[in-house]
Amino acid sequence: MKSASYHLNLLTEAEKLSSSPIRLRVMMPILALLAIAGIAIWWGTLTTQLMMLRAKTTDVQNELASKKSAHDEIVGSMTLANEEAAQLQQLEFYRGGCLKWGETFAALAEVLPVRMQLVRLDMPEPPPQILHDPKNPKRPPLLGPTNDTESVSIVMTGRAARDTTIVTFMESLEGAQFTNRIGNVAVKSVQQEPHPQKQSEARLLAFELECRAVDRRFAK
Amino acid sequence: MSSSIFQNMAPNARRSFVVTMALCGAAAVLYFFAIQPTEEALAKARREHNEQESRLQMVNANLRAAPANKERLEKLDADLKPFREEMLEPLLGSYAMRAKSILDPLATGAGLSNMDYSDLPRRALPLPRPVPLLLYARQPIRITAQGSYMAAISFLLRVEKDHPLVALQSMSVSTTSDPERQQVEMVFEWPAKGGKSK
Repeated sequence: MKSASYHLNLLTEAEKLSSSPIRLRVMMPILALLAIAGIAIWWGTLTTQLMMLRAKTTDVQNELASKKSAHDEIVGSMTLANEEAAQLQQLEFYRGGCLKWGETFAALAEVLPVRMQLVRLDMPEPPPQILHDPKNPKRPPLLGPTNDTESVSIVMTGRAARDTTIVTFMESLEGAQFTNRIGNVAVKSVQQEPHPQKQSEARLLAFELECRAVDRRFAK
Repeated sequence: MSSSIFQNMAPNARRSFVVTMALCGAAAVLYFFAIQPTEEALAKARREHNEQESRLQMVNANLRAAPANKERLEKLDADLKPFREEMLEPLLGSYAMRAKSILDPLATGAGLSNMDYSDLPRRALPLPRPVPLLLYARQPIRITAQGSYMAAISFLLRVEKDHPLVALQSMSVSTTSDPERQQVEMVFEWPAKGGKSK
């Protein structure tokens, strides 16, 4: 016997015509649930990444800790090397300003004409260093001069019988043995004075020569 | 009006709406209280890791450079040695005393007499870059003596030969009543420790 069955058409007309026959009231919670699942997966991925990164960082920190003492030693050694390099540079500045004068002054005695007497030879001290700022005296002084050169000059005072003797001597000072130390030679003053021993009218020339020497250059 | 829409909903639809809203709320809570803090923590961990990684690279590079640095230090020590040997250290608190102990034999050998030594104010040297912690300076010592010009020059030549880092700063030779004896004044400079830069 064929049983009678009811057929209820529960779909509305709009649902029959739509692309998805599944009702919105079913789809919305499912979509929301999927969103939660997606977020949970996202969170899980991030947490895994974070844990892995922290583990890696811990490894790096352990490696750093194991190398610390050796590294501290090498850093100390590098700091010392840099300090010594800077010290050496300053001492090289000092060496740059060391000029040898012995040979020059020894040669001076050899070229001095017979009829000439030097009564004084002066290589004056350089002017004092000014490390305080004169405009602002409260400021602490500078640790070093800003100028790395110091000029040097030689003043020779003496007596000669004739002016030609002085000229000869000046020409001698332009010789090869002086060129690396003495530059320009100039007459500062010349005046006649009576001869200290002879009673006659013989006169001597008292002269003062100034020689510009090479600068002391405190640089490498 | 919105509440009337909710009231007019079929019970199934209403339940579905409430469940959806609750799930959306849960999703928002998860996003703001789980995802965002984790992302921030991850960014922070990444920064920290990069820092540690670059530090490790620097440490490894420094450790690799250790032999070269040792060699550099040895060379610097060798270069500094002549300066350290020539450095004027005070004797009994006086630089002049030290200079006297060094130069007296040379002066006597050269024929100078009546030697007298005195300290002059220290002169600073130009600063290198970078500035070292320990600075050096020029320590001038004034020496007065009597003797012939040739004795003075002989003394100067001996000083320059035996102490190449001692420099003549100034000199004065003047005649006296005795033609064989001149009054000699020399100022020699030594490298000396000049104090700390910091």
